[in-house]
Amino acid sequence: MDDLLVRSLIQEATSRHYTRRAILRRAVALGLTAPAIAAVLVACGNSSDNTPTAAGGTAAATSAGAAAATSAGAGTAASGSTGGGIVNANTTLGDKGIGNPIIDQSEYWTEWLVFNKLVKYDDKGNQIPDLAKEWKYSDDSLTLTLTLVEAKWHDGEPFTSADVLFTFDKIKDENTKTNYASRLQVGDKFVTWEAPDDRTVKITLTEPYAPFLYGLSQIAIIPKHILEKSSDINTDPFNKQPVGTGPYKLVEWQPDQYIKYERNDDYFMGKPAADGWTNFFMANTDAGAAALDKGDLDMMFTPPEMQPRYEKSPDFVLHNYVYYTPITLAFNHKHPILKDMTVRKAIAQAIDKKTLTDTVTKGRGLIANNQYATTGPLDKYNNYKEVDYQKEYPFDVEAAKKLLDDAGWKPGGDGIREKDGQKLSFTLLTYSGFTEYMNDQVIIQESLKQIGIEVTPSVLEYTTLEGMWHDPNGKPEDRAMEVQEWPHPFEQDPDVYSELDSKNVPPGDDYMWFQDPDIDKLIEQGRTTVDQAAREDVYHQLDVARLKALPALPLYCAVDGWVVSKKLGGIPADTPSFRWYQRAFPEKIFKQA
Amino acid sequence: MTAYIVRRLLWMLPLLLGVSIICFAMLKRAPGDPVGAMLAESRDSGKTMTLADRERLREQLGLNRPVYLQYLDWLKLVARGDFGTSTRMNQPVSTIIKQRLPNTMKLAGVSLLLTLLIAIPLGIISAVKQYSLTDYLLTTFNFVGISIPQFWLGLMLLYFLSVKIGWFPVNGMHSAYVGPGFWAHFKDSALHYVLPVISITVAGVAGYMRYQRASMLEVMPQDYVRTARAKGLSERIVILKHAWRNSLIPIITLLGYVLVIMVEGSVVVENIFSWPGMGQLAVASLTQRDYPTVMAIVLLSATLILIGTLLSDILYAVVDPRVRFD
Repeated sequence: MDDLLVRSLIQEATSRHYTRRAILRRAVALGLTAPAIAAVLVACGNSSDNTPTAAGGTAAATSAGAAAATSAGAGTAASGSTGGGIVNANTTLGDKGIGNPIIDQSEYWTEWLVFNKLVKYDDKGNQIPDLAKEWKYSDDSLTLTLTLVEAKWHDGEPFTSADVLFTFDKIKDENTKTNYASRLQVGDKFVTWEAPDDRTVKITLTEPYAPFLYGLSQIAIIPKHILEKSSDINTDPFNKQPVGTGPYKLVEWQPDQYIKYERNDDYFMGKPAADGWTNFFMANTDAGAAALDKGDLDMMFTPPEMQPRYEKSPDFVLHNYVYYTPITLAFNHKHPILKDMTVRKAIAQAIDKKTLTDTVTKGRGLIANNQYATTGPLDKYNNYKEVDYQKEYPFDVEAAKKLLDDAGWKPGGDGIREKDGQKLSFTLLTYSGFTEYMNDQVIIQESLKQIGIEVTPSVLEYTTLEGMWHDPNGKPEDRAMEVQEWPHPFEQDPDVYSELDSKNVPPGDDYMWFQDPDIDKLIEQGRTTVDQAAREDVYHQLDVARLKALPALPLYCAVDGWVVSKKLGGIPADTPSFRWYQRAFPEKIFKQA
Repeated sequence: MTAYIVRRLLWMLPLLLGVSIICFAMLKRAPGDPVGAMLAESRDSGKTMTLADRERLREQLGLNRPVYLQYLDWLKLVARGDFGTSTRMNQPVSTIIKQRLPNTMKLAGVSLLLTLLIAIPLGIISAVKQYSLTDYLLTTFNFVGISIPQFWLGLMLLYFLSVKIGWFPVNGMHSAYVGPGFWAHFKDSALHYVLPVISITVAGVAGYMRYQRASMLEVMPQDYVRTARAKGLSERIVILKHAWRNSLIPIITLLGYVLVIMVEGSVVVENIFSWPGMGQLAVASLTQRDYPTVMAIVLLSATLILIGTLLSDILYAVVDPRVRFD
C-alpha cells in the first residue's frame, strides 16, 4: 500500500469530470419516466429505511469531516491483496463512438484509461505531474517550460515533445471538431508553443494567465505518428482504435454495449493494478443500480435519492463528497426590480437556509456561506475570516419585511407587495432532473410568500434553459430567478470570468447579466496572478465583494455519492472524493476475486 | 392492382416531403441546438466552452445558415441517399443506424413472432369458449397485460429475476466476458433476450388476443359459419378454415404497424435493459439535438408506416377475395 501511495504522487490521467448534473440530466432525458423508475427501484430496495435518525447520523459525520468522513469507515476491503481482476464501470451518457480525446463528445473513460495529460490534479485538488514531470514559469510569468517523462505509446513508439506540439496544432486547426481551443488561448489569441528538444515543451503566453495549467490538465496528448497522415481527424478510424500512453489499452468496442481495456504492462508510472477494465454503456442510473446489485458493476455515481439504500450495505461503500460549487439562488440583474439590492437583500433574509439545507439534502448537505463549496476542491479560495452569508444576511422575516416596507413596497389586496403598479412577483426556474432543486423551489416559494413576494416555480429541460440563457433578447421577467449552480467556476480552478464578468453578458455566459466594475477588476487580477498565495488572496477579496454585491445567494453545498463495491482495492480510505481519485489514479484500482 | 400499388408508392413522395418539413421545422423550433447540448455536458466537465468555441462549432455544423437553407442542404443530401453526419457521434448516420437497426429487429422480431404464436390461438380459444372459465381467465390476463406499464413490468422482471435471483443478465445483448465455444455464446445471448422479450410480449399478447377474440366473435354467428357446420365439417375445420380466416382483417390492419415497431423498437424496454438498438438511439439523439440522426429515424419510420399500411391493404385482398383495388 505504501508503495502505491508513493506512486500516487507521480501519476496520471485526470480529466473530464462529469458531474451528477450531466449524468442525471441524461438519466432523466432517456427514460421520460426516469423519476418514476427511480422511485420504483428505490422502493424495491430492501434497505430504503431512510429514517430521520439515519439521516441525522450521516449529517453529523458529513459536517464533521466533510465528505471524507463517510468513506473513512469504508477503507479498502481488498487492501491485503495487491491487484488483478477486471474493474467494471458504467457510463450513462451514451455511446458516442469517439475515442479520440481531443474531439468533442469523446468517450471519457477512454480518455482516462488510455491517455495522459501533461499535468493533472490529484483527488485533493493539487496539481501533480503526468506526462510532464516538472514545469516552471519564467519570472515574468509569460513563459512556461515543461519537461516530459520517458514514455511509450501502446504500439511501442516513443512519446516525445513532437506529440505534444501535434496535439496542440490539431486543436488549433479550424477543421478539428474540438472544444479545447479556448484552453490554449489567452484572451482570444492562441498562445505559442515550441519544442527545444525531444523532452521539452516551451509555451509563450501573451499575458500572465493563471488558469492556463488547469487548461493543460484537460488536454489529453494524442500520437503524432499515427494521426499525422490522417485526412480527417474527426472521422479517422483512430476514433474507434485509439492508441495512447495510458495504463490501459483499448481492446474491444461494442457500440452501445461496452468497451474492454487490458493492462498496459509498459506503463511509464509502473504496472497498473487491475488486469483490465470494462465500461458499460447503460441507458440510465436505474439500469446501473440493477447491475450494481447483481455484481456486474463495481462502481457508480448515485443520485441523492438512491444513496440511502447503499448506506448500510454489506457489499458496498458509499463515498460521499461535496459538489464543488454551491447550489445558489441566482438573480437576473437585468430584471427591473431584482437589480435593486434592497429587494435581493430582503429575499436573502427571508430564506431559512438551515431548514432548507436539512430538508432538501436530508441532512447530508452543508449550509453555503462562501463562494465555493466548503470542503470542496476550491475551498482554499474561500474567505472564512471575513465572509459569512449567514451573518451578513441572517434569517429574519421581520427585518426582510421592514426592508421592503421602507423601500415603498406595500402589500396589496392579495397580500403581494406592489409599488407604482408593479408587483413583487417573479418566476423561479430550474432544470429537470433533480427532485432536490424542485424542493428548493417550493421552499423558496413558501419563504418569500411570508414577506409578500409571489414566486412562480417552473422546471425546464436543460437544453431549453440553455437556449434561454444565451438569448440576448430574452425577457428578464421570463427568468427572474433560478435555482442552480450559477456562477459555475471550473472544477479545480476558481476563475469565474466567463459567468461573472461584465463583458460576458448574453450571448456570453454571464447569463444572469451581472455587471460590477470592482468585481471585474478582481476577476482580472485572479486570472493574471500566477503565484498561488497571492492568487488565493485575490479570491479572498472576491469572496467579500461577492458577499456585498450579491450576484447570487449561495444556499447549500450538495453532497453527491459514489457507490463502490467492497471488492475493489487500491482506494485510500481518506480520499476526499472517489470521483477525482478514480480519474486521477485509475491504474491503482483493482478488483479482488 | 399494379396501377394501385404504383399510385400509392408515388403518393409517398409528397407525404414524406411533408413529414420531413414538419419534423425539421419542429426540431428547429425546439429550444437549444447540438452545440448547446454539447455545452451542457462540457460545462459539467468543468470545461466551459467559450463563446468562440461555440461559434466555431456552430459554423462547422452549418447552424448559422437560415433554416430553409439548412433544410435544403439536408434534402440535397437525402436525395443522394446520404443522411449526413451525426452531430453527436461524428459518424455517418447510415453507419450508426446500420449498427443499431439489426439489434432492434432481432429483439422485435422474436417478440412479434412469440406474440402472434401466443395471442392468436388464445384469442380463438377465448372466443370459441366465450364466457367459460378459460375465457374469463384469458380476459383477466388481457386487462392486466394491457394495464401494466411496460417500464414497470420490465423493472420488476429485472429486479426479481436478475438482481434478486440472478437468473438473467441485467443489460445489453451479450456479456463482455464469455467462455469459449459456440454454445457458451449462444446461451449467453439467449439469456439476454428473455426479459426484454417478455416485457414486450406481455403487452403485445394482451392486445392482439383482444382483437382476435372480438373479431372471431363477430364472425362466429355469420351464416357461412353456420353453413359450414351444417355441411357436417368438423369443428376444427369450421373454426380454422372458415371463421378464423375471415376474422383476420382487423388483425392485418394492426400488422401494418408492426414494421414500424420493428424499427423504432420499444423505446422504454430498450432503455431499461440498455439494449443497443434504435429506441435508445432515438431518445439519445433527441435529447442531444442531433438533427441528422433524428431526421433519419423519422424518415425511416414514416416510410415504414406508409409501406406497412400499403402491405396491409394488399393483404386484405389476399385474405378476402372480395376486396378489389380499382
